[in-house]
Amino acid sequence: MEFTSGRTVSGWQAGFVGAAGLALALAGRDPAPGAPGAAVTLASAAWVVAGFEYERAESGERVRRAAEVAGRLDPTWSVPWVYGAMMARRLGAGADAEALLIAGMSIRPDDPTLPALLGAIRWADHQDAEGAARWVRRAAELPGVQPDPELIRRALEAE
Amino acid sequence: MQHRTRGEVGRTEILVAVAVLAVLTLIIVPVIWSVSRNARRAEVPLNVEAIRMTEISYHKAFTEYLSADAAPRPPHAVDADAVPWVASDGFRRLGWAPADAEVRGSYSVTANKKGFTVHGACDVDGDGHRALYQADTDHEATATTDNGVY
Repeated sequence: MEFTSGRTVSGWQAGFVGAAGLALALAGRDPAPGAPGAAVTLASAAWVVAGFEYERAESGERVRRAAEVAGRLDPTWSVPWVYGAMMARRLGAGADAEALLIAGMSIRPDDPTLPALLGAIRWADHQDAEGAARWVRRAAELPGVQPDPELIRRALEAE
Repeated sequence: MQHRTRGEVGRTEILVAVAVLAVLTLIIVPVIWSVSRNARRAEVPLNVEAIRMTEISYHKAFTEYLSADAAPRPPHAVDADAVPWVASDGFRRLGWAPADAEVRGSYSVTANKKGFTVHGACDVDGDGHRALYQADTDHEATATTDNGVY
C-alpha cells in the first residue's frame, strides 16, 4: 500500500494506524501528527475502558485501575490522572480518587494540576485544612508555576 | 456451463460477505460515534465539578467566592473542535486550569457573597444544540439539558 507521500507501508502497518486512530477517537483525543505509538494507542484504549466503567457507574475502583493503566502507558498525559480521579470521586470512591492522584504525581511530578486537585478534594470532602494546604503548597512550589500575584498577596494577608 | 474450481469464490459468497460487512458497519459505526461523543462530552461535568471544589477551597482561604468570565470562549461559540485553554481573570485568580491543554467546553462562574454557580457548556457533535452543566455551592455538577444532547 502506498500513501501519497510515497512511503510504502504494509497492510499490518496500515491496520495498526487505523486501530490507533480508532482508539484515539474513542478516547476523545485528537489524532497527533504522524502515526501514534503503541503506548499512546494502548493508553487511549485503557482510557476508553475507564470511560466505559464510569458510564456503567458500578465501581470507582475499576475506573481508577483503568485510568492508572492509561496514565502509566502514556506518561505525557495528565488527563487519566485528573479526570480519572474526578470520575472515581463522582462514583463515591474518594479514596481511589486520592490514590490515583498520588500515583499520578510519581509519573508526572511537574504537573501542578494533580496536587492542586488533591488539595481541593482534601478540603471539599474531608474539611482537612492541613492536608489541603500541604498539597496546594506543593502545587504552588513546582518550578514554572506562576500563581496570580493577587492570589499570593491575599494568601500572605490571610496567613 | 462453467464449473468453479476448488478455492474460487463465487458471486454469491462475495455478496454475502458484502452484506455481512454492511450490517456490521451499520451496527458498529453508531456505537463508535456514540462512545466518542460521550468521551468528548465527559470533560465538561468533570471540569465543572473541579471548579466547584476549587471555589470551595478558595472560600476557605479568603472567605469569598470568585466570579469568572467564560473561558476559553463564550458558551454560544462552542463547537465540535477543542481550543487551547486561555484563562479569564477570574480563573487566573482562582488558580484553576483544566488537565488538558485544549478543551471543548466553555466554563464560567457567577458568584456573590453567599455562594456561587459554575456553568459549563459544550457542543461536541457540532449540531448547534449545547449540552449544559451546572454546579453550585451545595450541589455537585449535573446536566441541565437532556442526556441525548452532546
